[in-house]
Parts: sequence; structure tokens; C-alpha cells
Amino acid sequence: MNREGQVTLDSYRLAQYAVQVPCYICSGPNTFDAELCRNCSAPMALTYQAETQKVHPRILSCIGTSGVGKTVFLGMLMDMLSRQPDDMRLLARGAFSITLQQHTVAALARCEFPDKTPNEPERWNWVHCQIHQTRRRKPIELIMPDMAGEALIEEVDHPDTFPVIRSLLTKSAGVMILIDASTLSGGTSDQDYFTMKLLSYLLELVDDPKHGWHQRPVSLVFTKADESESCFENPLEFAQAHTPGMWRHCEERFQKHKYFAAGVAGACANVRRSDGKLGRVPLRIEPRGIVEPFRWLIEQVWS
Amino acid sequence: MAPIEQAIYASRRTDHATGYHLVVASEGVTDDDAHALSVWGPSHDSLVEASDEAESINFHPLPSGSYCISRTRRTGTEYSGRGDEVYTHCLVVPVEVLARFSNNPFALVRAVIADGRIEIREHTPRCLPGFALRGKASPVDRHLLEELVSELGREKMSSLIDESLQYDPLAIVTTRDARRLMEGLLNCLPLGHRPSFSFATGLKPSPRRPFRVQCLPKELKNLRQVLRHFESAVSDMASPQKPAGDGGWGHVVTSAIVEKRCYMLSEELRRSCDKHAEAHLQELTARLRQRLNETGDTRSDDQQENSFRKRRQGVSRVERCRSDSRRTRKRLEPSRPMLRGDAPHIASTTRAEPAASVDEDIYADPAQQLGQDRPELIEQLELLDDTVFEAIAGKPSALERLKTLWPQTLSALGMRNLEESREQYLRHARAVWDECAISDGVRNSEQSLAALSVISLLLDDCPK
Repeated sequence: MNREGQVTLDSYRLAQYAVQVPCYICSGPNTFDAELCRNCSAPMALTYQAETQKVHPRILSCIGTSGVGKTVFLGMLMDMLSRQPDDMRLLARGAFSITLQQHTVAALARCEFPDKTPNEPERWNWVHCQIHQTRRRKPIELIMPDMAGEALIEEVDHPDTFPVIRSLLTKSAGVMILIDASTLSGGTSDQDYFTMKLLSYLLELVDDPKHGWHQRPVSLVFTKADESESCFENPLEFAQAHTPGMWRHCEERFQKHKYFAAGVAGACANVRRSDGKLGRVPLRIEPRGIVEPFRWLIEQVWS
Repeated sequence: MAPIEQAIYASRRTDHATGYHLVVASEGVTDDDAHALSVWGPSHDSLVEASDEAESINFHPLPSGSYCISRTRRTGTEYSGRGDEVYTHCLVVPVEVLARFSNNPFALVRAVIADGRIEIREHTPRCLPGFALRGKASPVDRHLLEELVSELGREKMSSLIDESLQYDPLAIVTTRDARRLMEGLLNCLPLGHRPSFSFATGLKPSPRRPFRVQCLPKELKNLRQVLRHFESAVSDMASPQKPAGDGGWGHVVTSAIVEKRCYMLSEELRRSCDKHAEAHLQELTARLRQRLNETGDTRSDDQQENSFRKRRQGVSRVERCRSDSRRTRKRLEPSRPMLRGDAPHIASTTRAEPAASVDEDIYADPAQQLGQDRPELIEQLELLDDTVFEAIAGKPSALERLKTLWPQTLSALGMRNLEESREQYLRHARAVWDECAISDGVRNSEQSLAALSVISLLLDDCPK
């Protein structure tokens, strides 16, 4: 007795691996089912989402040294923009884009600062979002990574240690550089030196005189400004007084730059932990000056 | 003897950086090696286990040709108060030192820990010295291998050995003690293969740390995602038994363990120390199989060990007799003046002594030498110990007593016999003083003053 049957050939699946998918951040080749880029460890979801858009997303970077408050700043910024029914609203694209906001808000609600961001890029939080503005018909597509400060300094000191940082900063349309105002007020000038290093690194990244970093917008944000009221009153004067090297660098080499002051915790306290070590905790959440640097950057990039 | 260099990778605020970085390194660590240590260094929340006692032993090559053996642990809250600090003490080990320990990083780590060299330092030291490490290790720890084979079963052990030689990278998923498992696996590998087996026993996998073998706990939260992302072959020790490959290296090694003839494995591994090639592994497999199948040699490990012990006992008896006769001869000889390294040679009046007896004089324990003839001196040394430590602890009467006791003991025994004790006293006093000086909170000025007084007393009487 003969019977006819149909057998599905699965060999076509192998053909999918023959087509390489370039990473959106570093353009490195990946397989179609890769979760993270094998070259720079950026999530491949960014690439798949970008492919579905007519207009490719732009990258805005938030950089600064370790402990300056990048995670808190970005998490709070996302939280504020996603809630406020103002002229600027944020919509996260993809579940991974909400993790940063979720972790930050949950930690602050427990009167704690969020855990340190690890150095390993595959464990960073990434945000892919749409910014809706009332005066723009089409939303703006944005990618913002939350990088580790140690990784940034390591890359600046030893270029190509973190390929993802180099690719990100080369492609970024603008950058927010975070500077710790509380340590500056305490008379330490480390932040001035670190920021000058970052600014020099940016200038060396792109040689093109038309599209180099001296033409791209840079917002310089003094964080933890709640511990130094004079910083809130006049960030420019604060920069001239406490970070003269950085101020001179920006004046001479960056055409578009502006100083801001921001603070998330209204007040902080030192607590002694169970192991006897001191830790800093926020006593209340009182965000100030969080949206302004971002709004200025958006206006500069899409003007 | 080539020194072992060291470095600490942790989250600290130092003059040159904040957060996770190489906070201090000994002078012999090259720039390239320092950079590699920073790249491989595990940062925040990198340990797979969440307990306070969790640790990872890691091993990987360095650009200079040396190897890094490191131990990663949690040390409590990190400097900025954002979670626990992950602290890694790295040892930069030259090839020849690793070879002395049969290319077994675990054996070397044990020796370094026993020497008190690896410890968690709450305060970042200004400098970290390189150090020489004595000792060696045998290629095979048969007791460990026997335990592992009885726990895992012969088939699993055999397939683990073969998979580790076959796949790069390999993730070993286990519910057991990863450190023991990894050490057991290394014990089964030819000596020439061991340096190429970079591994971590308890770190989360990362593309920045391309270890060849990674041990992962079965209960790791995102285990499937991790395995998928890192595209590593998986050897699941928790899965049902797998059929072992017949005739491969793993099979032959487990046969030697099961038949209690690890001495054969050890002897063959010793012979094969510098070779790495695949062909050599086949040759080694064939040779070991042939020895196991030979009917002539049917001794077990226990029999081999007993005969070895008897041989050693015989040798020790002879040595003891020789040393007794030497001691008797020495008592009959007139006492010689103290030997100093910088002193001129003593004019020889008789025939030169054999080199062995001079060595004995230089290296023998001073307390042992003194105690043989005058046991009351040992008591005096013990009294000195108690007084010094009480004085450092801040007891005023002890300090007063020490002011008379130290010169008395010094004149009775001489600086040569007290030098080692004095070094230990100074080290302890210095540690106490450092602790008081660097303390974050309330500083104990009384104790630091006591430590300082003891230091000055011990140094004042030092011969210039």
C-alpha cells in the first residue's frame, strides 16, 4: 500500500545563519538570532527595532566618572518624562528599556541609591525610546545607554579597551557630561581632571571638521547640586570657580555647550552599615534640574 | 628564585581613579600585564553565588607569558555604599614557579594562603611587594580523584575529562563544590595541557573574561540565557549519566583511579611535562593503557605508598644517625665565634668542615639550638613574647617591664638569636599603628602611642 506524505525540510534554517546582521552600535557582524553583539555586547534588539523604522534612532550619551550619579540621573529622567503630560513625553520601546527606570525608582523608594553599574557592557542598561513633542509631528527615536564610569575612564586611558564606548561616542549626536558638584565644593579637583580627559577623548574620536565633536552639543551637568546651593543659582559661575580647566576647554573647543545643575535627593545622610562601613542614603526625593539639560540637548540636535 | 608579583583589583577611591580598578600592584607587574588584569578583573556583582563566603579561584594567561592566579571574594559594602565590594587579589606567577607546582593553580594558591600572602586589605596599601614562594606539588592528588570518581561516577568523570579537552569554551554546570571539581579535573590533565586551561570557579561569564572553562551553579537565575549568549559547550554534571567514550584519555585516567593505580598516572604525567600536542596525548593514552593492562605490575596506590614510606623511613633513620653523630662531634669541639655575612674569614687552624654542617648552623631554628642546651632561655623568650604583645596592646605596666626585659634578653642571647622575633614584633606593632592611623572612625591614640613606643624601643637597641 502506498501513501503520500509531506516532509518539511529544515535545511533552509541554516541559510539564515549565512546572512550577517550588523550591530547598530558597532556595525560588527552577528547571526540573526544573537541576543547581544559578539563584538561590543550591545543588545541586538536595538538593531532589530531600528530596522523597523524609516528614520534611524539617534544616540545621546550620558557620561561621567564612577559615582557621579549617571544611573540615578537617567532613571529619574525617564521616570519624569514618562509620567508628565507636558510638551515632552517619553515612551519606552522594548521591555529592556524600562529596566533602568524600574531599578532606579525602586531603589530610591527604599531610601537607597541603585547598585553600581558593572564594568561589563553586557550588564549595562540600555534605553530605546520615543520622545513625543507637541510642536513636532513625528516622534524622535533615541538610544541612551547607562555606561559604567570605570569603563569610561579605562577606555579614555587605554583606547579600544571597550569598543562599545568608542562606537557609542563616535555615533552620539550629543552628550551629557555629569560632574559631581559635591566633591568640587569640598575642594577636590579630581572631577575637573576627569572631565577634561573625557572632553579631550571626544575631540580625538572624530577628525571631520564639519561633524566632529567641537560642532556637536555638550551639556555639562553638575550633579548632587542640592549639596551646593550656589551651583543651582549660577552653574556657569560655579564652573568658572571650581572647574577652571574644564571651563577653558569648553570655551575654546566646543561651540555648543551649556552648564546645568541637577539634584535628585533633597537631602542625604551617612549611615553605618552592619559591616561597620559608612554609606550614603537619600532621605527624600526632590528632583531639580533633571529635564532641562536633556531638553536643551534635544533642541540642539533636532534644531 | 623568580618572584611572584601581586596586584589588587577592587572598588576603591585612590589618587588616580575611583570605582573598580587596579588599586595597587607590585613593581614587577608590567604595564601590559596591569592592563590585562584590569580587563579580566571582575567588577560589581560578578560572583555567581550570593552568600558572603562565596569565592572564585581564577586562572588565565598574561601578555608577558606569566599567568594570573586570582581569588575573588566579597568584602562588605564598597566605598560608595552601593552594594558589596568584589575584591580580587591577583598573583602574577612566572612559568617556572607554576611548573614547580605541577601547573596546578590550586596547589599554588594553597601554598600562598598558608604563607599568609593573600588577605583582604580593607585599607589600600601604598605598595605591594613581590615575594618568593618555596615548595612544590605532586601532579596528582589521588585522594581527591578517588572521592570525585565515587561521587560523580566513573562515566561522568570520564566524559568530563574528554569534553574539557575537546571543547573551548566549556561551561560545567554543577550542584557540587565547583572548586573541588575544577581541581579534580586539572589533576586529570597532562601537565603540558594545564596552563592552557584558563578557568573561573565562581564568576559570571563575560565576553571580557574569555575563560576556557567556567563552573556555573545549576540554580543560576539566567543560566539558559548565559549559556546561549556565550556559545559555550555545556557539560551538565547534574544530568543523568552519560555513556563514556571508550579508550580515550578520560577512560584511561578513570581506570587508573578506579583500579587505585594513580601512581602510574602520576609517573606518566611527570614524564610528559613540556609537551602539549594532540599526538602526544594519544601517545600518553596508549602508554598509560599499556601499563594498566600489564600483568607484571599489580601494585595498588596503597602498596606503592607503603613501600615509599618504608623507603623514606629508612632514609630518615640514616639521616638521624648522621645528624646525631654530627651533634656529638660538635659538642666535643671548642665553641666557634658567631658567623657574620660581612665579617672576614676566620683563619683556618684545622681542616675545613664539611659544607653540610655549616648549612645546618645557618638555617637551624635559633630557639631549637638554644633550647637544646639551656631550656630556661626558651622560657625567657616566651616571657618576652608575652610582654611585647601586652605592651603593644596598650598595657602600661608591660611597657615598663619591657624597657628592662628587652636589653637583658638582648645581652643574654645576642641580636642574631633575637632578630627573627624582633622582626615579628615590629611587624605586629606596625600593623596596629597603621590600623589606628588609617581608621575612618574614632582613632585610638593610646594604642597607636603604645605601638610607637614599642617600635622605638626595639629599634633603639638595634646595633648600628
